[in-house]
Amino acid sequence: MEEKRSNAVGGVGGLVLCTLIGFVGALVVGWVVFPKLLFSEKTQPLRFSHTIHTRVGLKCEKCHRLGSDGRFVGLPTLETCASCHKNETSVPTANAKEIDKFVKKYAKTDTQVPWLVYQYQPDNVFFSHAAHQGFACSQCHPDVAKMDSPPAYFENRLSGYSKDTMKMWQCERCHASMGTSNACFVCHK
Amino acid sequence: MGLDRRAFLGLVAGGAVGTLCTPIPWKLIDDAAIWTQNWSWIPRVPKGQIDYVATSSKLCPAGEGLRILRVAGKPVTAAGNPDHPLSRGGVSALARSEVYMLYSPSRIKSPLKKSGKRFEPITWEQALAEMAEKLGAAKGSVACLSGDASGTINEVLSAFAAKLGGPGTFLAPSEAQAAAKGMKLMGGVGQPGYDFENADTVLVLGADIFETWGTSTRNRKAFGAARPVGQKPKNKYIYVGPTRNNTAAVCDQWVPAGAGDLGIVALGIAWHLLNKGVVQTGTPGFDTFKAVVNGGFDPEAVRRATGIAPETLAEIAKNLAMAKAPLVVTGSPCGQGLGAAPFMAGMAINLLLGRINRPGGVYALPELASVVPGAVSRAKLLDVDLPGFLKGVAAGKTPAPKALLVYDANPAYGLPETATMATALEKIPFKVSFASFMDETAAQCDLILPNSLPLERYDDVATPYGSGFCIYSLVRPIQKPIHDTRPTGDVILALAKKMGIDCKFDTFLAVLKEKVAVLAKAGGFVATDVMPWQVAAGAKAPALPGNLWKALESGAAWTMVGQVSQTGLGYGAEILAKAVKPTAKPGAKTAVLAPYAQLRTGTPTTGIPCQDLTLVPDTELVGETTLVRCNAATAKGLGLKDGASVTLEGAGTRCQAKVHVFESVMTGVVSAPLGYGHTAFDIFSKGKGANYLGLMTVAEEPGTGLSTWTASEVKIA
Amino acid sequence: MSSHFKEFPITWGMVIDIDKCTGCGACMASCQTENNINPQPEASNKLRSTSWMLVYELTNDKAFPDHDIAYLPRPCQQCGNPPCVSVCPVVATEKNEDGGIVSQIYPRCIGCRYCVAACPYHVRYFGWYDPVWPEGMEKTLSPLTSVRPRGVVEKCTFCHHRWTLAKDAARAKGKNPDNLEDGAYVTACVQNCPSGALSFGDIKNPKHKVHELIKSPYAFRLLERLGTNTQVYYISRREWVRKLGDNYLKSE
Repeated sequence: MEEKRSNAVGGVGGLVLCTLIGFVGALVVGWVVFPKLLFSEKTQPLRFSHTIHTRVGLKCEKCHRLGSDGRFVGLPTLETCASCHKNETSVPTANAKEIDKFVKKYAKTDTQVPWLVYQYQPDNVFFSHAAHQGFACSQCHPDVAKMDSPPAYFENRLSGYSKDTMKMWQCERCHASMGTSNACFVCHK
Repeated sequence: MGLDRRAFLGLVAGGAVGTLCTPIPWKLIDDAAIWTQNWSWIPRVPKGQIDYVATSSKLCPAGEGLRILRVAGKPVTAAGNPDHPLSRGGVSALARSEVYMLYSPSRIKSPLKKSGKRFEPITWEQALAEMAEKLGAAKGSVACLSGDASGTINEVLSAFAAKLGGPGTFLAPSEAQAAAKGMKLMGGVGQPGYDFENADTVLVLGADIFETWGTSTRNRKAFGAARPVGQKPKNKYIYVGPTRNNTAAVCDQWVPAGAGDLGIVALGIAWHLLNKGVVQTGTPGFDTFKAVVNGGFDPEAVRRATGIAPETLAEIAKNLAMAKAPLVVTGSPCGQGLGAAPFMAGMAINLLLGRINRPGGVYALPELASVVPGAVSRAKLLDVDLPGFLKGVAAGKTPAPKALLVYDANPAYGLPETATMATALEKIPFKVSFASFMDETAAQCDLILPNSLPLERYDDVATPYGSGFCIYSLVRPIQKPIHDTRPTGDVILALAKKMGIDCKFDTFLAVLKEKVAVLAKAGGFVATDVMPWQVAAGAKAPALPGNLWKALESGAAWTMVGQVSQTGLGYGAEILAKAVKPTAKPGAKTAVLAPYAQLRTGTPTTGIPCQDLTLVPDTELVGETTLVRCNAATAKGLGLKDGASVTLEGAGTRCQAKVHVFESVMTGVVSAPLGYGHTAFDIFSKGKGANYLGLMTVAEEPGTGLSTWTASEVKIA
Repeated sequence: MSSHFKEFPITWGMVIDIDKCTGCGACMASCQTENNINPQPEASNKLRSTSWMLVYELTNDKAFPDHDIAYLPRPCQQCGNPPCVSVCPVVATEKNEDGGIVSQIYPRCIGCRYCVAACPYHVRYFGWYDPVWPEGMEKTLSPLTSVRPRGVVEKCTFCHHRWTLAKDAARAKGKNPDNLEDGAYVTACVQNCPSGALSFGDIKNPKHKVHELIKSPYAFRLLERLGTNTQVYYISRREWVRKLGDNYLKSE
């Protein structure tokens, strides 16, 4: 006489159910838990607000522009920021406290601010902003101009790179669709 | 509640399939691959804006103007400055490494005081106090040695040493010394300058003009400019020397002659010129000169002394006589130790052909005005014979100075007859070095006050020997000193003030500013679009800019076509008769040592630059042994095989080597590379090869009294 | 062996005048510092040291005094038909870019050294050791070239990074980056040679001087008969030097 002796899950129905549970569970782990484990969230050393700076009339090109030799300036150096923020304010607002933090910790000690670069590329990659002048910045970069505080920076614990670092296939795809060369040395060094 | 087998398997299988549909495996593989390529011990490159700044090289004797690439304000590489007359875009292997040498492991990081066998770091205040005390006690017996032949630092050093009293300031031996002595003995005034750019036929007697002699980078640019690629050369260069060295490799002809026979070759050529009817009766002593040449330097006498066929020298004489702008340059094949007589003999040919103060010939360059009161002139500094002095000290004939200041020099390594020189140095009770690197001399000193490197300090280059025109370049700091070092100019001036000695200036920068201010009054122009050799050839010189200092700081050079008029320049024939004599032929088991120097092994003060060790071929250094070269006939005569280990003995010193059979060396001559055998500096220099300079015997030249060492005999076994 | 030479609209070539080379090694030092090659204390071991640009000593093998020497700087020959490309199992090296510079991609290289064996000119170097710089010297690294770990092959890239810099400079000035002036892009070795023995440019561009120089009757290429179609031309007015460019029989 065949009868179930335990209340264990089993049978064909049990198989299907467990497979489904395993499958969905793996998806959840893979898509939700894994990213949380793989990336550690970091904050920028200073809460830089783009909206405040654009509101006072600063144009993007003042800090992020192509130099005279065609190379992109990237993030502004300490000297650029310190040209306006030379001294501590004595204002108790949150924004002013950030300025004071900048002046005390970086401007006065002549230390470059260690910004975390969202699009940090490896040393062996070369990207020419001059060659991509025709594109809007927001096609590759988050539109920080409209943000009051910098977006969260997620660092990959294994590779050390940022979550927003563009991968090679993204460059290749656009190059192929535009008819630009995908030869290795176009981007590598 | 449990799972039965099927359910469990289902769970696992579902999980597996599900995992494959998530980023986990793909991202992990990709990130793991990236992780394996980013080891923490592999350095990352610096990031930042790139820009270029200009300065001049002090470590390379060719004095090139440099264009330094900077990243985020820090120097990264040194290239030549295309607008600088001594560079024209070219740079030597030594100057190229100048940025890397900022971080050489052998850099001295702070003032050091000898304590027993080791050095103890002290502060600058303590160092200056010690200096003031010891130098005060040694007053009247202070000597100073400077290896910087072209800097205004010598004004500060010599003025300071003069005020302290004693043997005074010496310059480390260089080609400039033989030239200065020779000029003086011929009754000439000024520093000989060689206008390669406008010369069309150049006879090079010994001087390694494309490697270590004079303004070598500029010399090569001048040479190459008249030789369009793949076409017939527009100039002709003939090299006379014991080996086909780097210079001779590109010259049109190599005439093998011993380094000690260069004077005979020159006078032999003069014989042919006189025979052709070339006369210069206007020059004092022409008749005596003619008598001396005809009396002892006829073709057969020259063949007996040197082995050179008469037709060879006749052909050279013909080339020189028919050339529009011939030029004769004389120097030592190893960059030092040439006697005054060979120089005079070579210069005599220039005189004979009327090439003094002419485009493409020899220009007598005036010395730039000095600004430090009490400074000794360059001409006087070059007149003092350091090896002769030290030999006297070693032998007890000359009293040893009580104190010695060593600036940019390494006498414990870079002088011939090292055994004798070591004895002399040991007799000096208080020695101070301003070296930037821990060299052999600094290791022996009682106090080291490290000089900041040229990229970290203000300095200058004033008409280096070999330049065809007066030139002044500024050296400016590209970066803050990395270690606790100070520019020696500032240190000496502070020390003088502390000791109550008035040197007029407080900082070396003030000295340089005054030097430039005085320079502006001398005339000349800043070379940007118009080069000095073009002005020598007839082009119009542009006007001086209003702010000369600013122009110099941007990397341009002040230049002037210098022509000190000669009233008493003669042939010095009496001296030639006494001094130019055939050299003895080597005996059995001996050979004549013909060392050669190259910029890639650095100078005695720099050691071998770390990046340049790769440039050394394995026909010169294998493992830790250097190779000496001789041809098969010489090897056979000495009973040596290719690759055999040998010991060379000379001047009381022994050196090891391996034999490399190489046919571009004269028979009876062994050629040895210089710049090896260091016992100090860092792993890139220490323990590699032997210092063959030590084998050279210093002898007094008959008729001139100058210490010479170009062709010493060595025993080989 | 099929010969499929790849042709490109731009072909970067080097012309080396052997008769002007003094063997000083400034080109070698320039290459090392430009391309982040670390200082090597055991550099006399030529089997283990890295020298993308290497100066060879040539002789006419006669006895003194008829002996003659010449110096031959040898960068990567950037073959039109590269033997190294055809053997790479992972396509870490390719000749697919306009300009004809054979690329070498370090993250893709697995270090099998098949290309090192295949290259007839020995221009490829394997990184046997992790690069070590004396303390502080990493501050002098050039940002224009990456730093290679051990285990990958590297070779002369005709200072490709300088080409990208030149193109960007042209773009900044509103000029055409694909039609650079003669001298806008030169390699470090060519820029620094004091004798002017090295010239560089686009051999297909009539405005570049190398375009004419390669037509000289004294021009030759190394091991031409292998069919590598190299982009480095040597010039010497001495026949014995030209004869050393290939393995000629005594009868030829």
